Amino acid sequence: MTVQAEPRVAIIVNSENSQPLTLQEISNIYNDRITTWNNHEKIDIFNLPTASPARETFSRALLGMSAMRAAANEANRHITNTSRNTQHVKRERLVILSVATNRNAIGYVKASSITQHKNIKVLFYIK
Amino acid sequence: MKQAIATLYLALCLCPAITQAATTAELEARLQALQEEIRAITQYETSNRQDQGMTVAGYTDAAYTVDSRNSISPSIHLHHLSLFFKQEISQKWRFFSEIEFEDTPQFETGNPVSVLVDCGIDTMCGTPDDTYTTINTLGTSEGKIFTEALNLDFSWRAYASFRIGRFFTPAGIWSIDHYPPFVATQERPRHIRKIFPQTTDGITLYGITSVFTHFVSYDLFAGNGEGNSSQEDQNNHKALGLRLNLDLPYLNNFTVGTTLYYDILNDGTDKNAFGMHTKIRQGDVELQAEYANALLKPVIGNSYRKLGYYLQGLYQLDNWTLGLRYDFYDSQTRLKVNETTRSLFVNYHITENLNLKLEQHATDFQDPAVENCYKTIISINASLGH
Repeated sequence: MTVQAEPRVAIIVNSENSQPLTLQEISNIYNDRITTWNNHEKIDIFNLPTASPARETFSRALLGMSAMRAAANEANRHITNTSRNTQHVKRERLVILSVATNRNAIGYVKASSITQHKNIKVLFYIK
Repeated sequence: MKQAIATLYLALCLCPAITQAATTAELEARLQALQEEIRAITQYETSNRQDQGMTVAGYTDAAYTVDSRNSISPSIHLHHLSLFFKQEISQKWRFFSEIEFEDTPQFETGNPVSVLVDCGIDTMCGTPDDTYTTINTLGTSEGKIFTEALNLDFSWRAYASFRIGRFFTPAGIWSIDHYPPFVATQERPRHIRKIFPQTTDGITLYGITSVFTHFVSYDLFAGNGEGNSSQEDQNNHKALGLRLNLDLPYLNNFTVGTTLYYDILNDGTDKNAFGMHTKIRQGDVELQAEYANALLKPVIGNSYRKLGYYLQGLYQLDNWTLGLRYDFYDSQTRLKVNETTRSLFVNYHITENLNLKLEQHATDFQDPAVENCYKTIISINASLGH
């Protein structure tokens, strides 16, 4: 039997983004409670697909629930028209590229995937 | 000659390198072009969402129900097909609507009817010169088609947005979070929709703000009131309501809130309703409870109350949700005709948008003339994009 180790996950923003964030604030961003940066610009939130092990790690550590449950909550906010901010689900490479090219973006990826990128800043590593 | 051969030899040796250099340069140029293209696409997706046009989403569910009462046969119930139409018109304006086809509406033509279309040249109807045609009328119908939501939002700030149109009455939890793919049971707690109305046609001011480490959200709304459609408001009074919600920074989720509602019904009955709700989650355990109480003062006769509450516990185990609920509803406390339901249920989440449910509800009626019952429901629920 093969046991897949939980990936170490890096929470990333654009390197031009100088706003400090706590893990609680990041949780509130992904829980749809905080929708704008301090400069009032809308936060562009990036998520990985539900099946991604990195999303499972992120959801468990930051949101205290499984990735599937977090995705269901997000879908529920959409169909009840209570969602304040849209979360984009992208593959890892596109999350990195989106964050690297968008100063209002926040995302998370497997830590080992970000070594070569200059325009992103790692806020936290979680596992 | 030797020099010419040496030159040719040198040229042949260098040729692959020159070709390689050209290929690498081309690849780098193509890579750069692709990166530019991806950058443009991602910027388009994130900053121009309003240009994506209207999105259509929805949900559907079907259930098989067995009731212990002999008078009710087991049935397969094609319950909902709801379609959501949504568009972000601009960064601040958003349109949302829900058209619900409930209980698989079916319209059939009835008996043909003769209709007079021309009275003939003498303009006296009923003479043999009259012309008739035969049309089919809608004879029978089942289910209903219902505009459950139709509204326009203006988001000024996170703490102040406006919504106008038809929206779910902001009251408690279940009146908003009620869609079958995302709630644990097909049966809703008994008092839901009986104390606060299901929808409101009107306007609401809503928002969220942080207070230290807490988040306060509110919905302050005014509407036509119960029983008054958008087409016709039958009384001069507008219903008023306020829902407050406080997210506390404890556990994974700790929410408490209250709802106030005031309305004068079309028959003149004065209605004051009050509710409280809470949702607590830590890890795989979630507790949810609501209480609601309405005092109704008719123009003639005695005042009475409607009262209801429920307490629900859920446990998540991988793709499974296990749960139980106790709920109570008294439609007229003066007459003491209450009912209680104890529910046990299990959900299997195939994906975040598709689940299966098995639930059993045991209901006891205080009125001895009403037969107590058990109901078992097996259902499949799907959320169709979002």
